[in-house]
Amino acid sequence: MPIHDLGYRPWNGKLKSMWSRLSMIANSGIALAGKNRWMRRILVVAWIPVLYWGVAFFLIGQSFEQPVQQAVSADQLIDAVEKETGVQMSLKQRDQLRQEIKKTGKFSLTLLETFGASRGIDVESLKKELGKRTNQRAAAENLDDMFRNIPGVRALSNSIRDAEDTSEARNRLWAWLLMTFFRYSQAFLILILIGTISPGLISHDLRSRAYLLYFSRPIGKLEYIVGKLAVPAFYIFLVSTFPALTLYLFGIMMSPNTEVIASTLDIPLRIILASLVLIIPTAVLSTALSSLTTESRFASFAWFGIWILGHGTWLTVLIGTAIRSNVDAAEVLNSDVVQRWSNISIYNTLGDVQSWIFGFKPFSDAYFSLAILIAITVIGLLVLFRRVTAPLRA
Amino acid sequence: MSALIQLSSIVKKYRSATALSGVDLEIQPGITGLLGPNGAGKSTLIKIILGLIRVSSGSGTVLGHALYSDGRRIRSKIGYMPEDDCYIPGMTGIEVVQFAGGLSGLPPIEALRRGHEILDFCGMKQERYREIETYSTGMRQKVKFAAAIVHDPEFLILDEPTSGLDPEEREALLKRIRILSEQSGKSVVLSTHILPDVQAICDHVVILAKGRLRLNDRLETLNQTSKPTVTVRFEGDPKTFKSRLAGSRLEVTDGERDIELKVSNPSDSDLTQLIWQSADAAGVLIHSVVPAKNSLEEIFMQTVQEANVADS
Repeated sequence: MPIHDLGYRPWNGKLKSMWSRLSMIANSGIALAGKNRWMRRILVVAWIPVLYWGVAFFLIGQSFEQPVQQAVSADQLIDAVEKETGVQMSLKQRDQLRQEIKKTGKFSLTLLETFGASRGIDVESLKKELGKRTNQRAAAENLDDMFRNIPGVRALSNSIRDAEDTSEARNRLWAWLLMTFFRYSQAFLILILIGTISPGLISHDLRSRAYLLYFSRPIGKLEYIVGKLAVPAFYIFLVSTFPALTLYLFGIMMSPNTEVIASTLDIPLRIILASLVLIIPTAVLSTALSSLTTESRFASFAWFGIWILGHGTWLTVLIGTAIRSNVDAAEVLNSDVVQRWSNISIYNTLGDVQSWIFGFKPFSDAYFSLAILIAITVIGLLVLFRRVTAPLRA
Repeated sequence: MSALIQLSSIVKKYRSATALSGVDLEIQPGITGLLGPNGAGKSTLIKIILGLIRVSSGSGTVLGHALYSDGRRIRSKIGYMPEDDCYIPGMTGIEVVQFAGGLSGLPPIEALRRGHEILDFCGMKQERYREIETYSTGMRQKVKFAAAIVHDPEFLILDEPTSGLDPEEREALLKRIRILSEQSGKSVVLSTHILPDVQAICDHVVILAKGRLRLNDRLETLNQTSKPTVTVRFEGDPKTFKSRLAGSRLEVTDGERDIELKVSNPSDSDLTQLIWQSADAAGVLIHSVVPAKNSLEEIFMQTVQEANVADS
């Protein structure tokens, strides 16, 4: 027997299932995309925002440990007491309370007890409720003051203001941070990332006639399409879902106790849902564009064109409306005209649905955007199923 | 011996054009040459065999599986080497073969091992680690061939496998095909325009023209002449020799050279005996008497011309 037989040898192994073939298509696509030097640079850049979002989680984790009362003004506290008890304090009582708070920096229990006892109020429950309410209200008002020019923050401050307790407030704050992570820092990177990967996915196969390599094997359209879609999906996962889940775990580790896990258990689910909403329509749209041409650059132009022209048109409507009304753009964001044009931008459409998923918009405000994303996905899939085997039918 | 491919009344229409019209075909084990002029319907026939496109009408089986509906099973047993220069940009030679193995269902590591084994068989050396865009036509042909056989299929469809190869490589590839057929028992359909390739390795010949099957027979049978014919090489006066042969009631045509004649015998009498007698009478010296074969080129041209006439 020769040491190394260079002749033909039969193979008697067992062939793997359809999933193995599908993963082969996906893995080779991922590996090929990973060979692109620019692609690797984008991946490195994509993880930079995670660092400062990580700092935000750290600070928030610490802030929940601090007595927020110190940041609350005496008048805010007095107003809260009046609101909770439903009675008006006299000017003397207000002055006494104000002095006490200024002196100690904390809520005066003695005064509250005196004040409550004289009116038959359960001081303990008032104390608990008051502390909670004032903390949340103060945090919300501080947010409103700090970010008064950013209307999106109002959703967060309202959410915190309405939170039942600190746990829920933390949940809202984390959800909001993660949503903004998806919406602001990662959206732009994902746009570039998909614009780099997807245009060549099918157009290169059509150009080099590599589809023959696929379809002369036991591969169907479904495996081919899903395998190809898995490539942008993987990279979107890598720069959005995975870092978002990492941030969540980081937030858990920065938290004071294990109760935080229970109170934020919905967050990973929201992250995964938001990722799916981001991944499915964008991957389908970009891959469908790739299947329409043998020149990947045309698919690339179309991809960036759809995003830039759509969002540019909406911005033009927004600025035009603001100029006509002679107000800041932020003030006309929710006007009928601007809202009507909002869905022409895929960015806004995705944002609406993600806001709903993270709990900052009611479903009634997001269902139309969700319908648009479903329509994009369905049409994109139909195009893909039609186009990928078109050369075989010619 | 049962047929590997059985097609019955296959019709394939592309909107207004008819690519195949009523093809009845049986392909037996062994190596079959699929011939036909451009536009004859060869590529369409291959796609139908692979189960990639539906037929407009007709039915058939490939390796015991129904056409199209069992497409996946059929393709898992077939190795297809396309004529087109299909490759995935950015992949090296070994990656393409590994990838092809993986697509056929080989586990990834096994596909890599098998890929190396097959590239060794195809005579591919260190260039297997280069990106395929940098390959010459011959190297790409080798990679395509390797990708077609990596999963050890029982049936091979090779579309123009020797196009673009130098004579040495062409000979080597034909030898590999012969090894696969004779030693590993694989059946092969060789679609080509290079008739000497068919002559060299095929057992059967199928000729398609104008979307119809015009000929399907064993090459050995086709090569046989309808009446006993020999090619005679001689030295002497051709005129006298020809007239003597004609006098013995033999049919004589000129050979490829001046010193060659093709002689056939329409009667039952001994052809060789008559040739020797005529040579003796004409005073020429016989160098060789070799049984003549029908040339494949002649058969092909005649079949295609008949198809053109029938069509017009």
